[in-house]
Amino acid sequence: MDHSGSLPTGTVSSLVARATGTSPLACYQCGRCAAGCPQNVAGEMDLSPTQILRLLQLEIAFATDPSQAASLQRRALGADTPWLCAGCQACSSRCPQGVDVAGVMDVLRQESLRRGLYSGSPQARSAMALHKTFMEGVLRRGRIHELTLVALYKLRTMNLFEDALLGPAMFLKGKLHLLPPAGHDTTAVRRAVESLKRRREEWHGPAAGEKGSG
Amino acid sequence: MARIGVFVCHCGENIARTVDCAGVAAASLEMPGVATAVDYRYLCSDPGQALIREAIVKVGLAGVVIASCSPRMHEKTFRRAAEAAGLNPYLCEIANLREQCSWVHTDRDQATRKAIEIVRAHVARARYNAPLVPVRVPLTRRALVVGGGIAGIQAALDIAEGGVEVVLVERSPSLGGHMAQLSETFPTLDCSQCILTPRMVEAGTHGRIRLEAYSEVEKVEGYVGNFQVSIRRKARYVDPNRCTGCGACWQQCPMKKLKSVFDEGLGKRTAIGVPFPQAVPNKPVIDRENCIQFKTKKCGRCQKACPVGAIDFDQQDDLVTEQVGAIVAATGFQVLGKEAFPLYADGDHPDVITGLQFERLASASGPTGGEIRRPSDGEIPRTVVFIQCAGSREPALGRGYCSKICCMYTAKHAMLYKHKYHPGRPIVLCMDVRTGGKGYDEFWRRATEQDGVLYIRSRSARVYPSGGRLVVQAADTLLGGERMELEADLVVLATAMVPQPDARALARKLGIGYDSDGWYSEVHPKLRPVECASAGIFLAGACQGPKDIPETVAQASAAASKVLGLFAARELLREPLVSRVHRAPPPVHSICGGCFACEQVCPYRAIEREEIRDRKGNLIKVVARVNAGLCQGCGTCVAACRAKAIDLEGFTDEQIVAALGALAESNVEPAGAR
Repeated sequence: MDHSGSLPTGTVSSLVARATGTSPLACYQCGRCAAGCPQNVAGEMDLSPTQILRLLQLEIAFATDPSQAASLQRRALGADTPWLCAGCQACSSRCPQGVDVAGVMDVLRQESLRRGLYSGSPQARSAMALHKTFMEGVLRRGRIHELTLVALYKLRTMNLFEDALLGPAMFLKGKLHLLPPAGHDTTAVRRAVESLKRRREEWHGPAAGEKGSG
Repeated sequence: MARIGVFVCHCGENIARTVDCAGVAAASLEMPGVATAVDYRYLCSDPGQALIREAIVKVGLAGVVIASCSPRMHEKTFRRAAEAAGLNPYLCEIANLREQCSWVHTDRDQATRKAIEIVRAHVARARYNAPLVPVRVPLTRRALVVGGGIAGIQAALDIAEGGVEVVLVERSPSLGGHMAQLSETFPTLDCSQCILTPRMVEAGTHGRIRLEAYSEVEKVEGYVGNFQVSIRRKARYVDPNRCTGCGACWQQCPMKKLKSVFDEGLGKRTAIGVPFPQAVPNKPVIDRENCIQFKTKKCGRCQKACPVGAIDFDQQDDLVTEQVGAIVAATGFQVLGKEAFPLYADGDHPDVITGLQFERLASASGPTGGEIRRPSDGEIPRTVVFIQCAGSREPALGRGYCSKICCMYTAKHAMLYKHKYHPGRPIVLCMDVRTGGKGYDEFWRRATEQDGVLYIRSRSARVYPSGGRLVVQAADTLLGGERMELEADLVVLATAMVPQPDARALARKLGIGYDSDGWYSEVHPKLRPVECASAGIFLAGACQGPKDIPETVAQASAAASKVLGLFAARELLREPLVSRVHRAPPPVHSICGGCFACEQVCPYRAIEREEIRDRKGNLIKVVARVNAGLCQGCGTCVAACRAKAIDLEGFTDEQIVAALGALAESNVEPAGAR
C-alpha cells in the first residue's frame, strides 16, 4: 500500500518514503528482516532492523510533538544499525510487505550525517572509514583496487591485523590482484559524483550541518 | 404539466451538515412541473414515509423525487411508500444527495448548489417516467449445487429437506472435499471423518438429491428460475450400476505405488480405486494416465477380477442437461503447495510439509496410522516448527489477505503432536494469533498453558537443511528482534488458502463476479452475503473467501434458505427496468433492421430472434426481441443499436436527454414523442 504521500513533512520517515517508495507504516513488525540479517548479531547491532522501522512508525505518530519526535529521531539516526548494514538486500527481497529495508538504512546513514546525529561509536567509525576509503579510491582511479582499499582502510583505522588471515585465501581465489587495473579516465566518474551531490542538494535543499562526505 | 413532489431528506446530519436542505426544497419549487417540495429530518422513518404518502394523495402527485441517500439504500422503501399511496412505484425517483454530494464535499454553498442541480436533473427525468409493471417469469423448482464438500453437502441436504429436488455435482470421484482429509477439528478435537461421513451418506442416499459425482459443469444457460445446465459425466471406466464396491479390482491392480492425492502425496494408491474407504459413491474410478491397460493394452487384471463385469475400458464421457431454477456455488478452495516457498528449503524438502499434509499424518486413516512421522525417514520428530502465515498476508507475493483458519489449525497441530508424542517440542512462529470464534481463544490458551507449545512472535526468514535436520531462521520480536536459529526435524507450513485454480473459469460459465484474488463476490459484504449479483445464484463456503467449518456450514444453510425462499413464490417477479425493442402496428412492424448487433454485445444472452409473419404465415422480417427474464437492464444493446430501435425502460433516451438538458439549463425538449 502506498502511504508515501501522507507522511508529515520534515520527518525522517517522509524522506524514507520518498527515497524507497514505501512508508515505514507498511511494516507490520513480523521480524523477518531481523531473522535473516547476517549483521544482526547481539552486541554489534544495537537495534534490529525491525526496531528501526518501529522507531520510524513512532516518529510518524508523534510528528506533531517536536520533543518526542526529536528524541525518536535521535534514537533511529544515532543507532549503529545503519552503519552495520552491509547492503546485502536479504531483508528487502524477503519483506512480505515490500519494505525496502536496506534502502531505509541508506537514508538513515545520510540523514544521520546531515543532521549531525552520527553516533561515532567504534562500529560506526569503522564503517565510515570504509565508506570514505572506498569513495576516495573511486574518485582517484574510477575503479576500486581491493589491495589498495584494504591497505588504506587499515591505515585509517590503525587496525592492522584484523582479518589478516583472510588475505591469502582471497588471493588464492583470485579476489585480490597485486596490480591495480589499467588506468581509466576518471572525469566521467567525477562528473557522476558531482551530479549526485547536486541532486542530493536539490532533494534536501542546501545541506546544513554536514559532517562527513559519503 | 406533470405534478411532481420533491422530498429532501436531512438524513440526520449526514446531508444537512453540508447541504442546506430547506434551500434545496425552496429552489425545487421553482422547477418546471414541481407541485410541492418539502424537507424532513428522516424520510425513511415511519412519519417521513407518511409525509410522502399524504402528499401524493392530497396534492394528487403524478410523480415523486426523493432527494436522499443512494438508491441502493432506500429506493425500495420509497417505492413501496409511493405504491401504498396508489402511485405506480416506478414513478418514484431517487436523487442521491448523500454519497454523491454531502459526503464528498465540505463547502456548504457549493454542495447546496450541486444538490439543487442533482434534484433538477431528476425532476426533469421524472417528468418522463412511465408506470411499469414487474416482469413475471416462470420458475423451475429444482436446484443445482456445484461442489460436494461440506458446504455443498449441507446446502444440498437443507434444500432437499425443504422439499426441493437437488442436483449435486462433484468433480472428484467422491463427496467429502477437504473436510474428509482432516484429522480432528478445532476447537473440540472431534474426529472430522466421524462427523462428516454420516452427512456424506445422507446426501448420497437422499431421495431428493441426484448425486453426479466425477462430473463437471460444462455450460450454463438461462436465467433465474430457468437455468439449463450441461453437466459432463467423466468416464469412470466402471459401470456404476453394476459395481458393488467390493474392492476386488483395486486389490488386483499392479500399479500400487502411485502417490495418493487424498493423502496429499504422503501415501500410496492404485490406478483403479476409490479415494478413501468411506467414499460416497463407493465406486472406483480408473486413473487413465497411470493405467497399464490404457498405456500398453497389456493388463486388464481388474476386468478379470471384477465379479460383476463392471469394468468397461471403452466408456466415454457423457453430457447431460439439467433444468434448474437456482444454483449454489460451493466449490471450495485449495491450499498453496510448499513449492511456492523457495525461502523454505527451496520448497522441495521432504520434511517441510503443508498443514494439509500434517492433517494426513495426524489422521488415524492416514499413511502413518495417525503417528507423527517425518516423510524423509519415518522417524518421530523431536522438534516440530510450525510456520504461520506461509503465503498469507504477504502483499509482496500478491496475497494480502489473512487465510483465517491457520492460527486455529496450527494450535491444533501443535497440540495433536504433543498429545501423540509427549517429549516432543512444538514451536509455532506466529505474527498475530487470531482466535475470533466461540471457544477459540480458550483453545489456543490451552495449547500454550497446558500443552507447553512455544509461540515465538516472528516470521521465518529462511529454512535450510543442515546435518539431517532443518534450521529455521527466526528473530524473537518480543526480545527486540534477537536472532534465533531453531533446529527442527519437521517444519509445517500453514500455507495460504487460495481459490480453486479454475475458479475464474467457472465464474465465467455461471456469469458471477470475483475479486482480485479470485474469490467469488457477494452482492453486499454485510447484508447480502450469500447472493451473487446474478439473480438466482448463491454462494456457500470457501469459494467466497477463507472460512472455517462452522462458518461454511452456516453459510451453506443460509444459501439453502435463500433457494427455498426463491422457490416459495409461484412465479418470479423481476424489475421491469429492461430493454425493449420498438414494435408498431403494420405496415411498420418494427424499426429494428435485424442486424443483431445487440445480440453480439449482450452480456446476458438476452437477445432472441423474433419472426414477424403475416396472416398467411409468410415471413415478413426477423427482428430482435429482449427476453425480459434474462435482461439485467445494463443498456449495452441500446448503445449498440444503429436504428435506435431499443430503449431501456426507466432510462429511456428522452429521460436521459431531459436530465442532461436540465443540467445544461437549456430548454431543449427531447426530440420525438414516445
